Amino acid sequence: MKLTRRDVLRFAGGGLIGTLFTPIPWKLLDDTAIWTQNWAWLPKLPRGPISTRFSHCTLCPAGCTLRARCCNGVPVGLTGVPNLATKNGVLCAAGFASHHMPYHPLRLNGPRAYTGKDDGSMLIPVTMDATVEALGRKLRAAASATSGGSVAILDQRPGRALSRAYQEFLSGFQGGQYLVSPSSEDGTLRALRNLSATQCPPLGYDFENARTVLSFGAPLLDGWGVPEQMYRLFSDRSASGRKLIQIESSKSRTARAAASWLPVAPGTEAVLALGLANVIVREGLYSKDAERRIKDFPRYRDLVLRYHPHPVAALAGVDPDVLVDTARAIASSPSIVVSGADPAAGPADQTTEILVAGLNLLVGNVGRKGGIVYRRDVPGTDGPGYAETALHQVPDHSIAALIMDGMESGATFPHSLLKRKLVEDGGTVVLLSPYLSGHSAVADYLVPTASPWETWEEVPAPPGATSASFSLAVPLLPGREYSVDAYTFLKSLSKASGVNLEDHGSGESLLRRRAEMIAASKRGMVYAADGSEGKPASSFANGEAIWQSCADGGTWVDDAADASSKPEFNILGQLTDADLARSARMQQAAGSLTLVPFSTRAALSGATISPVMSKVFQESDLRMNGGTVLLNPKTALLFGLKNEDRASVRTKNGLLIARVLCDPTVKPGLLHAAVGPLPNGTPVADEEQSAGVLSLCTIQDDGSWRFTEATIEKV
Amino acid sequence: MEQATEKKSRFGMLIDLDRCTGCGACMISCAVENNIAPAEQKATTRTGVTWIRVSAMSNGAEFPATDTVYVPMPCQQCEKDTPCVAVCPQNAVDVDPQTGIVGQVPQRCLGCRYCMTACPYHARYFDWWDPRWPEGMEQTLNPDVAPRMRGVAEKCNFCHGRLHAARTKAAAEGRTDIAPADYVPACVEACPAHAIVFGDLNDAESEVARGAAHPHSFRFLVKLGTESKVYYRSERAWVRDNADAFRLA
Repeated sequence: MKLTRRDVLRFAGGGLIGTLFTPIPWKLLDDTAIWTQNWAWLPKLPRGPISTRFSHCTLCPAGCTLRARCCNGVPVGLTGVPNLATKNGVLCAAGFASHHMPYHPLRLNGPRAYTGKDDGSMLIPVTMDATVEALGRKLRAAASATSGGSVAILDQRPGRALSRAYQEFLSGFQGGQYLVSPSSEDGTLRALRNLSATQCPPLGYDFENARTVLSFGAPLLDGWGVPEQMYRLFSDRSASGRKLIQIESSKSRTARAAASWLPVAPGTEAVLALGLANVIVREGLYSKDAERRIKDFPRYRDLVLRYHPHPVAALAGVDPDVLVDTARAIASSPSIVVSGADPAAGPADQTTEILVAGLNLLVGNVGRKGGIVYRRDVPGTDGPGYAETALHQVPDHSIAALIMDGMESGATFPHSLLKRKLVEDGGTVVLLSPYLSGHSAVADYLVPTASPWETWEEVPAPPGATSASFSLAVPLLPGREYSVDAYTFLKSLSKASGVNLEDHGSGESLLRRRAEMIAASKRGMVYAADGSEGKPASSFANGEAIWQSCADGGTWVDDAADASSKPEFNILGQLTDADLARSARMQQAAGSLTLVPFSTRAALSGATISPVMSKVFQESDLRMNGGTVLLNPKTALLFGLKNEDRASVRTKNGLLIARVLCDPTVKPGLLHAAVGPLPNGTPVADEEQSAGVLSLCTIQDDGSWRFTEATIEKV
Repeated sequence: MEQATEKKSRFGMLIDLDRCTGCGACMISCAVENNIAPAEQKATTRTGVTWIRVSAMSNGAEFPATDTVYVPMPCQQCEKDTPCVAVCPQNAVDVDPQTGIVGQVPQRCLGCRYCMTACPYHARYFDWWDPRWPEGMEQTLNPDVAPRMRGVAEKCNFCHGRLHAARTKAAAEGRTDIAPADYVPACVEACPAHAIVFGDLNDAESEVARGAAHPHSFRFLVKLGTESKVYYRSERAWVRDNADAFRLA
């Protein structure tokens, strides 16, 4: 038999076709799929003994209790701790990923200094000694009479033992200013403190016992206060019997869950507060005690009687009957009236804050159960402390040197606000932070501090809490060699600048000292993280025993304060008719919009967050990233825009190219602009980009930046 | 020979849309629990991986009559004619007859994405990139869940790792059935508003079974007859009316 070339080809072809009917190609396909899924760079899972530790989250001031599941001692999963006798129980989205923070790509790995500020700034590594020496010189110069400003510290998490050390440090400088961030939770309480004519104890909101809560734009169900408490009290409106009334221009997450929502015209909140007070005064619904405690009651009464509900309702764009019913609701039961916008929009304007505080005084909410209650300070800090001022309320150009504590307040503010408060030549700004993000763009010196999970951190009572408390965030990871303890740094700085600061050792010993003071006071209860019944602090042998309990996730909670205190207030104080007129209404020019920045506390404002948060702002549209603006579909149509268009947003302060989304919950005429991570999810240190939409906002005379006139155009 | 047999369960979920505030805690706790990597720079809403995605659903009315609910959408765990099972050429998707959970076997997956096309709920995701965490962050991965490689489809499996842990615990304690409290998916545990209830739909006394039977409970796209095991609940009639239109904002 002759073997031809044709036979060979037929054999090869037949073999090939026949192979297709065998398992070989399919097995190859299958195995290829498996091989290609097992590359060497596939992350290896941690291996080792599993353990759990209780701790507290330090990403925002809520300080939620958590349980860390650890592998080889490294946290690999976090859960909230429910059913605690104290206030905490669940974590927010950012909290679930807080154990990623020590490995954040923007970790600052040594001190840095900006040089050539005027002609293209450059970030260069410097040594810690050189940093301290240079800062010591600058602080001495700032404190001199010729600097034109003073030394200030911006403490974004007040109430800690470290805060007391900051105050002690500042007392060494003539005119030193202790500043706190313009946090929205504190707005009403801050206004009440400022209005008090006599000594006013610290204040807190007794939401647990309130029957009606009237919120002037406070995002109660979107990261405000202690999120667990807010969700528990207000997310099920039918079950609790509590009534939440939301006054807000757009239908926010809080507004949709509220029992009623008043969609007011932006900027008319102050007038609306006067209209509510008018109903309460005319119908005699005010507290009889109010006449005595409000020292300028006759003047206040005369003012509110000029704001009849009908014209007020017409101005604010709400139903007058609803306005009257709302006034009656807050006057007829234990209630709380709270002001505040979301963290990015910053505090309400000063006039609104004062008039909202006035409403609380008028109906007798201050100092009663279910209203705004008194509380005490942590032992060792009782008595008159250093004057505390919100950043936006200090005089312009009054700060020559500023030290910013990098702990997140959950609130963000425009860099232009900070620049406005610095002396004309810019002064010196030092940032203590683990990360090269957020406010690092405006700092001259960056000092790396420990990240969460690397050091003992104090978790004081959250803003608006009804009692003082003390708990700890536990270090489960070794500290980095390049990071410094903020207290140790402060001590070095005090030596370099010639200021006396009592030496308590390290930051940890400062906290242990606080535990000693709590033990010595014999006040309050200590609650263990396992949910067991609390023990009186007086039953603990010493401060070390309380420290141990807190180191195991426990929380010390102070006793209720004496409710018999009756401070007096001046509501109107220096408030003039011009102030009222200014805050009465935004005058919107034809063809323009009102720009309102928005964000979510801690998670997506100026804070540094875990990269995995991309799930909510980049891989879905649940939260908006920094390049997104929301418009009502009707407004979008007027400007020739549609969903997913690119548009240029322009204000007198600058321009931003943004992605447009149409959202029917936005009030027509408003332009909601997200402050958050950049579209690619990576926060950057570049000033222009990190400032984002906040750089477009106009800072008003009172330091607020809620509304700015803007135009939008398709690009 | 003694043989331990787990009772047949139908694990399901009930999500109260009136309680959900759209905070996103479920999405992040899910990503952390199941080792879902952070987004690559180029990732978008179309190419990202979120085993449970929360989207807004609007009533379509004009301001101020507009209303919105947030709809968490995990795999709906279809029980009948499960579309992804039917189309998978690799048998990479299966339904566990003991639990009713629709599981994904990434090692078998070829990445053809038929399942993504077939899924009427858009609850399946494709790994367009290698799973990468910033340097050092690998130490924080959940040791019980293997990360998946680029080129495969993945989806919610009701936290299968937790089911295994609950079974192990039950076996160690001499039980054949797992205790309901021992098996709770990460999203259920995370929800601060307690909007998500999980349990055995076969157990008539369970909260999820009782909730599913409520007249205001419903399932999305029930007309397709997939008998999904994720129920939703809302007092808002327009939400229930939209269940078959499935219009997410």
